[in-house]
Amino acid sequence: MRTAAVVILCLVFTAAGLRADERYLDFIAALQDQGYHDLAIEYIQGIRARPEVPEDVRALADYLIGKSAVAEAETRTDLSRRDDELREARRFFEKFLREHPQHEQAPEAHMELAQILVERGRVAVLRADDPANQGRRSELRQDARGLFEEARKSFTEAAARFEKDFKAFPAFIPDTEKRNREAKRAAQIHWMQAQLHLGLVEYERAQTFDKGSEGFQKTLREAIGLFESVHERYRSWLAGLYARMWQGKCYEEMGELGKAEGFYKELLEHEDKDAVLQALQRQVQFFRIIVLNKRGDYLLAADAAKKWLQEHAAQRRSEMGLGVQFEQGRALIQQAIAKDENAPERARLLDQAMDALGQVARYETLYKQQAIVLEQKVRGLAGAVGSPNFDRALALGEAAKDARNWPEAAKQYAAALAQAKPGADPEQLAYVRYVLGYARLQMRDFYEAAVLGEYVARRQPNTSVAAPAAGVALAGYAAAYNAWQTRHQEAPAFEEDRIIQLAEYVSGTWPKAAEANAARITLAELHLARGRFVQAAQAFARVAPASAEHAQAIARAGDAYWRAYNQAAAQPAGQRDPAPLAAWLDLARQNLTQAVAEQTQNIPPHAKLPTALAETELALAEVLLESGDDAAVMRLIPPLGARIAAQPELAPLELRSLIALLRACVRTNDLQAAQDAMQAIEKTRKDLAQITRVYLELGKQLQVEMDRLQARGDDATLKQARDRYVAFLNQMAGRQQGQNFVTLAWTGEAFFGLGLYDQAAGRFREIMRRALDDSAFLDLSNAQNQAALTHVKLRLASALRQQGQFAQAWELIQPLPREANPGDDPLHKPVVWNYDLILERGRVLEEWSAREPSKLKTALDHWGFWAQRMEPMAQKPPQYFEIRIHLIDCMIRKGRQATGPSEREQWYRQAERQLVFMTKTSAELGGPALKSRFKQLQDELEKQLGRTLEAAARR
Amino acid sequence: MNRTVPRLLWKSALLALLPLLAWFASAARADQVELVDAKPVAGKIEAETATEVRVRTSSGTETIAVNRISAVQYEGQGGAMTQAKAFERAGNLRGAAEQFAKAQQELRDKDKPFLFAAAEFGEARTRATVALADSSGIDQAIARLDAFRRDHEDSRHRDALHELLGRLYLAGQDYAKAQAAFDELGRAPWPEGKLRAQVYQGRILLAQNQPAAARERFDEVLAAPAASPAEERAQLEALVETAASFRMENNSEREIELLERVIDRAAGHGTSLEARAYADLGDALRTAHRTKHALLAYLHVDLLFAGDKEVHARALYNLTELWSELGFADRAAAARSALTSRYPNSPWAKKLASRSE
Repeated sequence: MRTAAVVILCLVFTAAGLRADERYLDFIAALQDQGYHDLAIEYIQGIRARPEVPEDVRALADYLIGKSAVAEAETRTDLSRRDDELREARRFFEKFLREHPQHEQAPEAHMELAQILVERGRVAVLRADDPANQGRRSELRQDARGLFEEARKSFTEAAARFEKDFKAFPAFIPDTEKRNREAKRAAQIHWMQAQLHLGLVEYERAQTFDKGSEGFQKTLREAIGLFESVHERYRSWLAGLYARMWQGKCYEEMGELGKAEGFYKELLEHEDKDAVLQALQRQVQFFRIIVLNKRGDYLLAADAAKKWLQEHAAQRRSEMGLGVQFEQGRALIQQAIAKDENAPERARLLDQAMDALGQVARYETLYKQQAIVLEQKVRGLAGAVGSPNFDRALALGEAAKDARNWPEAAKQYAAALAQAKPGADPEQLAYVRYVLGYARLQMRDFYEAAVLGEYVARRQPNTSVAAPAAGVALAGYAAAYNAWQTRHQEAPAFEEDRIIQLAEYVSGTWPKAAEANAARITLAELHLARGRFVQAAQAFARVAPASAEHAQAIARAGDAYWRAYNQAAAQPAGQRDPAPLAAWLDLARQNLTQAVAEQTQNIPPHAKLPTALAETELALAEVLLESGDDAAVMRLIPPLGARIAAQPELAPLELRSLIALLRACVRTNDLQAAQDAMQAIEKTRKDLAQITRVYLELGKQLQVEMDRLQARGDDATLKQARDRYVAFLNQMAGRQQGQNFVTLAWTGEAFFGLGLYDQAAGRFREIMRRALDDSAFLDLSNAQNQAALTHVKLRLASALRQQGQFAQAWELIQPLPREANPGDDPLHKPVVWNYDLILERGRVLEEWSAREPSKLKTALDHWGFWAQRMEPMAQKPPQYFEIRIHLIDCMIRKGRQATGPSEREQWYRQAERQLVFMTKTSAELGGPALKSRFKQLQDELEKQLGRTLEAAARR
Repeated sequence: MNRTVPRLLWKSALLALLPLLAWFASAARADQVELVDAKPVAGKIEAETATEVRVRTSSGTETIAVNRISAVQYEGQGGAMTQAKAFERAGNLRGAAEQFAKAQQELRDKDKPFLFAAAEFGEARTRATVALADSSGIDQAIARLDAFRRDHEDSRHRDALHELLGRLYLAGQDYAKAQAAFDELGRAPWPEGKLRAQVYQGRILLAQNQPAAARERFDEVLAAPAASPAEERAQLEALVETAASFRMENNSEREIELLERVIDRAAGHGTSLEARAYADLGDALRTAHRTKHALLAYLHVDLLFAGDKEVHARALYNLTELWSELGFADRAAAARSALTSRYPNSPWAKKLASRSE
């Protein structure tokens, strides 16, 4: 493919000719021919400003730099760097075209620009094929297709332009107008070349699909169509013949070997002995050998390869010549396999195969690795497997890696390292260490992966794999962190420190590399997991704006600031610092607003709403609600809600969006909209139990919103918000018409959330009354409706407790023997795994004990019973920790109530043992909020005991 | 990490090929002296002394100082010699010793004194290294080296011989003879020889439990100007030994700090130095009860410097214990298996076996 392109480019280049000063241009060409592209660039940059350099040369400077930059990029083994350099090369061609649009090399520059897109597409394909990018394969292939499509567009435009240029010349130009004739010929060649490239782009695009897949076949068919039309139009031109050859290659890759061979045969029958045609035929012969091997004609393939090598002895070491020898080796091995194991013929064929493959393995070409693997196979067949040297072990490792046989890959890479000679190429050593680390990561040997990756990253930072190796190390530490946490139920400090140090190192050492962004995201994830929301937000916000992850990262930064705000606002008054709250809220708003803008930018107008964007918009709406920007919320939420409702995959966000909508309606005092929202809720929710949960959630949100406003110390806003809610709810509650279960439940929960427990209890009682009196109000034969009613009854108990009406509350939920509970009411069953009920019973008893001390013993027994029952659970829910907190709190209270010092000491010691037990068995203690309550208990206990607790509790 | 590496390197490989072909053509019929700081010199070796090697090349005679030589490939060295060198490079020291012995048999009737001496010293060197790793057969190894010294007084292997001899005496706790051998090493005409001898003299003091006195020697090395990579390497070795002196005084923090400094500077100074620094760091971290830090230090040895047998065996022993302490029984078993299968005669395997009993 590349060879074809180069041949044609050379033809055009020669035809167009150069009129600039030959001294300079010859030297530049010599540097480029020798592969000294970096020197060529340096030289051109050095001479372009010199006054003695002819204008012709200066005009060409950017064009020539661009060409060298492309060639230099192609030598890069680091694909990310290669891609960056190709982008950089593009700038030079663009500058050249901007400044010299009419230059005779301008068509070439246009073609180069399009060719860069093809090259970048190839880079994306190679990255997609890399096992390291397994998770991103589909995304990278999509990128590659995008680039090929852009290239196709560029070549299409170029073809149209060249066609126009060509057709602008008169049909006949006399011989005397030599310059004009040459210009016409150049225009025609450009046009031809652009058309051929269109076919080649499709061929490349096919490589973005799995071999044999429908997409692969379909795209190759499209390429065949394009080649066919070039061949039809230019059958007597070299471009037409090349098109024919590529048609054959497409058929071969589609498995239609007969057709491919037919085309090759046709091309080989041309008898013209022109050098360019011979070059074409050499390539065709090579492609034909591939077909013969694929067809199983190993004898013919070996003979054809032998003939090729005899006829083109000078080409034996070219990439194509080595390709031929590789195919020869394959053919000989297959012939040998068919022979009897002890036949001398078999040994002779294997010897010949070894000779051929040995040649191939000596040179760094596409075939080297495969040749070494085949060599090893031959050694196995011949019973002569020995310990491999560095090159061989590396190649075997690479083959195992491609086959994703990670233990074998690791073994071979380790063998390669052991065989490395003193003074070995540091770049190569870095590569082996890196891939060995990668293989160990795949084997779940996390610490080994981390050691290898970090060694390359820190000790060999200037090698091309240093940044990716750092990525392996970070992945290793992160996996080790997770594994340890899962196993020991606590966050490991060692791994955490390593992640933080390494992520900072990567971010500082390669700030623009993709790995730096990955490191920032890993760091942010770690801070998030540890509840350090501000640090998490800062790390997310450092993701480079140019990166593809930026929009998502700043969305997460905004979310993390929002969580920091919520966490701080939820702290008890004495431990809370109100100063940064407003700033965090503002940063949350800024980041989320920018994230929505960036994410929206990339979405076509009528496309589906991506889940990530929906989540970001919803988070923004919640932040805007908190900020008091009601108008913005009302602009954002209704259309968002509509889209969420229309897309089933967004169903998990529905609850949040409806609550946000209801809150916005309340804030804007829009009664009608609130009613519409409730109707929407009724339509979407399946049963009343779910609906009541929506309203319970709304009530909770109102409550915490008030708490946060209080935490910010913004009394005026607090009062204003509260008054508005109350006024709104009173309006809703006062309506005589249209009150149903939903509206009553909602207003009840909202009153509860605002601390208006009397009104809340009234609404809950109203539900219970009407449910028992009016079967049209609630069909109690439906089990889900019964569950909804039970929930309302429990909420009534909570509202009564909040008003200090403990006996009434207890009456609703107290455990009763079976005979005393004829209706089998779940709220009266002695043991029910309903956390809301368990907590409510305990709270009623505990708060009641302030008035009736004897209740404290009952509360203590209740909490103790459930703490014991939940202890064996492997994954403990937050309610378990809450129960433990209540248990310890009750013990401290018992201590305070004790009449003598001995009894007091006994209760405090019991509380201490509980605290020590909890801190020993769990590092997280149910999350930051609950952990903070454990800390309060500890402080209280230490105060009572007059000493610090055991070390474990202090931890 | 991609399959394109060979393809991307293709052009440069072809460009590099022409001089390589030319080189193969001449090297095939000549001795070749590989240098630490320049391209190899090919030609006919005319003379070898303890300080220089004289080579007749196509452009005249070249005299090369012995301390610049990293290896010598002799014309017609034969299969056994080639195999011996490959085994030695791969860490198969016993196999290498046997092949060096076989090479001597092959060469016995041929008039190739330099090549024969190289095979003879190769056998002595590899057997001495095995003796040091296993802490056994030290007397035989000394006897072999002594015999070589008698037969080849002015050999180009003289410095390496004195160094090995000194190390063997040191391992056998014969400090006076060790001192004498290292003094010989210090008489070499290049500064790194003197520096290395001073480092060894410090090690003798350490072996005699005199850390402060040893440190004075190491400080002298560290204070000397280091003009060449070899001299810089000697200084890094002095730092490693200084760290060891602090270990003897139970000053883990100072030891850790020094070893981390060595590691920061050691890349490119040879794997054995890095291997030793990481293993020592592991020891220091274990002493300081920094278990996971120690685990990582030893893993460096296992993964990156497994070629250094003595240090690798030590790392595997510690990894067996550390994996076990951290609750990774399967990994502990893997490390144990690697130690007992690869280094069955090492003191570390024996120590592990005695602990298990």
